[in-house]
Amino acid sequence: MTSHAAEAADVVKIHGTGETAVRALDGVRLTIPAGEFTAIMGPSGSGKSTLMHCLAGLDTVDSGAVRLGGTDLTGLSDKALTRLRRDRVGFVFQAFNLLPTLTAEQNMLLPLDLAGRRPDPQWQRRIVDVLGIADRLGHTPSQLSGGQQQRVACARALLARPDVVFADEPTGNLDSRAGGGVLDFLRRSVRELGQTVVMVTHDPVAAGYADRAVMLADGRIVGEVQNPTPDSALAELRRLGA
Amino acid sequence: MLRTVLSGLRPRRLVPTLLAIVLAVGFVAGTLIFSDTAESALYDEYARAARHVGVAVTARSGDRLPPSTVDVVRHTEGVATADGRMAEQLPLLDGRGRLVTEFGAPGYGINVGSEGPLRGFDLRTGRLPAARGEAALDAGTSAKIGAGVGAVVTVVAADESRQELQVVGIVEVTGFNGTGTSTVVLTEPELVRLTGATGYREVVGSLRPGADETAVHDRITIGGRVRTGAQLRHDLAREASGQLSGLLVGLQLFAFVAVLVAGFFIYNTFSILMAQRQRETALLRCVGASRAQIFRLVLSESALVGLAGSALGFALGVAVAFGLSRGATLVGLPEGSLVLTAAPATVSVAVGSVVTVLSAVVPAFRATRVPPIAALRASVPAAGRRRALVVCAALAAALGTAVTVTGLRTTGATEAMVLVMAGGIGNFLALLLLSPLFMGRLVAALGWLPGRVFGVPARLAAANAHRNPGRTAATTATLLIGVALMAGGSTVAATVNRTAEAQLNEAFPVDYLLTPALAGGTVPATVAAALQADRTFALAAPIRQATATAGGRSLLVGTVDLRAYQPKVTAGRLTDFRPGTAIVPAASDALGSRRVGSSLELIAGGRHVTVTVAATVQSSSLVGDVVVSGSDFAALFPDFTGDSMVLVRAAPDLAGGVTRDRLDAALATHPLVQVDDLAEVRDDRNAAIDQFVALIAALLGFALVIAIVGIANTLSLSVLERTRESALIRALGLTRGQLRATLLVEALLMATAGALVGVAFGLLYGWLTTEAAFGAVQPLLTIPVGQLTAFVALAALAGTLAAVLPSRRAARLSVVTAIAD
Repeated sequence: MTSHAAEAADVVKIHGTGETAVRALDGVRLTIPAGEFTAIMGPSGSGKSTLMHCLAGLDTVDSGAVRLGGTDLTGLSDKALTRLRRDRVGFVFQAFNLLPTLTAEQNMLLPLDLAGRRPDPQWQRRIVDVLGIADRLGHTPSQLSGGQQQRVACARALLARPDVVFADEPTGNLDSRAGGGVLDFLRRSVRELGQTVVMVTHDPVAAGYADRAVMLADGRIVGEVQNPTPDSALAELRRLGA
Repeated sequence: MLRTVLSGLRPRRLVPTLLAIVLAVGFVAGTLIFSDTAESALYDEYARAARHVGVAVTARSGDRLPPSTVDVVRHTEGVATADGRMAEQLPLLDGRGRLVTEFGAPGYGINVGSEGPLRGFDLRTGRLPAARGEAALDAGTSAKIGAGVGAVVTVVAADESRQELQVVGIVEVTGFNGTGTSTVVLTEPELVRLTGATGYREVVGSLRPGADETAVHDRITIGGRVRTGAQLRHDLAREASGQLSGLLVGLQLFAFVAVLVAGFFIYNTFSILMAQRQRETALLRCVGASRAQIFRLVLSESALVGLAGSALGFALGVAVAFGLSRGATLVGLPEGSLVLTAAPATVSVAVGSVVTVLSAVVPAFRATRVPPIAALRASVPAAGRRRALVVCAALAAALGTAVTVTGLRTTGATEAMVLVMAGGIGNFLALLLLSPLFMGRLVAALGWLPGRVFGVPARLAAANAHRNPGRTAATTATLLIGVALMAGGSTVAATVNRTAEAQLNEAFPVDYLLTPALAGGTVPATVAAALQADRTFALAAPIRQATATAGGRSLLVGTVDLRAYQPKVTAGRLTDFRPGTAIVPAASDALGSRRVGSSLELIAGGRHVTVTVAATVQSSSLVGDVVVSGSDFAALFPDFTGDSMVLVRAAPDLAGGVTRDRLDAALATHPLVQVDDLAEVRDDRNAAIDQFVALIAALLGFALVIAIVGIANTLSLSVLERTRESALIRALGLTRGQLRATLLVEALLMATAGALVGVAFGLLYGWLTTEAAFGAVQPLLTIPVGQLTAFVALAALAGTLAAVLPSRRAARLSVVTAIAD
């Protein structure tokens, strides 16, 4: 048994070919311990989103290995990767998190529906209560505010009790208050609900909510801050010349 | 500005639009060119009789020109040669000794003629008859009865004797009564010997070079109708177009449907295109383009695309016409090379361009009304014009319903039918206008079951089809139009078939109908007597008919054995029928304001007979406008001999083949008695109905092709629009296969919904049309369940096929790039 929720070993990812080839990830080695809130930070183009895509089984690596909850993702078929995402990964994206044709509740249940599984009613009630979206479940995304939409996305990500929740700039499109609410929830889901969260962000304030901040530049891990505050995260980013 | 237009014409993006225009214009052009081609081929066929003819003298109806006419014409100044044309009824028997007829009429014999160029026929194989006992046969009949060169055929001479002739040649000829009539070419003496011909139907002459047709025409002053060659050709052409008019109406209907469908199709594609380019347009506005400039930009772009598509479409149309004319020879139309005139080119290109520009105007106008900043931000929901839509639809529906009701109350069958159909068009427009309001809901309802069975992908599909009702409605419109037409047509066909069958069975519970083969003849009374004595036949009931007048109007008086005539009674009782009374069909003109119990005075040849109406019945007037007892008939027409027709019913337990052989044997000495086998009549009618259904199937094929492209268009554009959405669900765990399934189900649902609405509407108007067309007769509404189910199934299949390519493209999408976008 490993206590690592996810692991990247010497991961290399190259975008493009020939002269235009870019090493988006250049030998990344990273472990994500279970039950921790990890922030991946770095300037634009540092490869942080690519790293998340590879860890989450959205993208394949060119060399090295990615393990998620003990499963080696390298070499898995598209179908197997899809299943894995459906059953063991939760996602919160920066924007366009919900399907416009479904209600909040239907959106929330979508991954479970796809898997043909029923949600644990107690767990569902708890998540809905913590997020404060109980009275919004019948609404369609267009009837929800940005913050509410993002909270529904969080609920969806957590409902299946995934091995890891990946959040890609989850507060990028929100004002600071709504963003604070979402980040607070992500932290509570780690502390109180025992979930594992990996968040990609370039915002030091957001990183301040995490247990650990990993710094990425030019496709390499260049630093790490334990229990970051907005100030220490910003200082570390500055040190890297971002 | 032109540079911007040209840079906007990105080929890939315009492919769907271009395809729409090409297909639509192709069909319109194809139909038009084919009409021209078929018309010209038929004219050529008819014009054969006028080849090299500069002047023609034609006998008055029933009259003949004396043989001297040929010399008179030949010796007229300006005439080079002249020839006489004979045409006399000459019944031909097939290998089994049965009369060869076309639409119930026996064939003709014509003389071979002495002047080659003036002959009204062309030799195809063999040679022309030169001696007694030799004949040439028209190609159609030769194929029909399987008698080629060298065969021996039997004709019935004027004295009713059978005469054998050796076939020495096969000719191409336009029959005396139009195409299809059997024609036997004989030497003139042989024709005279067999038919007792006393003169010519027509004498034609060719002119000396330089002679003036009109001058020659004016110099001929003998009896008969004198025409110049040009006049003759003109009259023949009119005859030909009479033959063709049914087909032309059908083709015009096709073309009309094509334009309608094409308009919808192009409009739909363009509005989706414009919606997708909203941001681009907004950007142009932001950097300083004025509304008018944007509007002009879209207009010139659509004009360019419209012209290009129309030109390509016209080329396709030529190919379509070629295919159609090949297919037409199979159903008996003459063969001919393609006729390309300016009209189809102009019309189809104009239709294509105008429809395209008009289709672009509305979305272009809408695009310019969007504030640039709003358009740049995100997708702007299409502004709803619900009220205007509902008002227009309500107007169309009110008008359509009013016209339909008027039609149902009109007595004249043709006007009633036209009115009901016109009303149908009004209501159909209303349906199309309103379809955005209900099509989405229908799709959602249809999606319930697959949603249960196939889970999330099917539910997503239903939701997607529901999200943009306007687009769903426009996409399904093509199918709706096609399927509605087909469902209406097949309902009419099935109802007509069943009603005719029921009428035939009810009015004539018989197996065979014996009629005189020659117009004006009768069936000898001995025939009915002989059959009555034969135990093979349960019934042989003669019908006698003659014309009398009543209240100044001429009508057909008939008498028949009531055992063979049991029509449905609408008033009174058949048991009240006895000498001094009459049975009158409810639809007969003779009835007028009379009811059961009214009296009717019949006058014929100075004799008067007064009868009381005993019953009115629901049946066509095959027996007569007034049916009286045998004694009343004899009192009115004491000199009448023979029977007008004989109804024959076989003994119940005999096989059809046995009775037919007995009947043929009994009639062996009466070759001019024609046997209508009601089983054959049924077969003929079924064949006619089948042809109609085949026509409907062709329409279906066309509608399906356009619908497939239309649905594929909409879906591909939707796939582009929903790239990020697809990426999201793929990230959340939808497999490639499931994403493909989602699009397939969406198309399936749209197509099924369109087909169902089309079937419902077609059924309704098919029923109303037959109601109107049958007038006093109650049609038996028949729902061709099998065919209708097949239409819906085919439409659903076509819809699914249409989604194959777009769904593959959607599934190929890379999640990461789409998400990062």
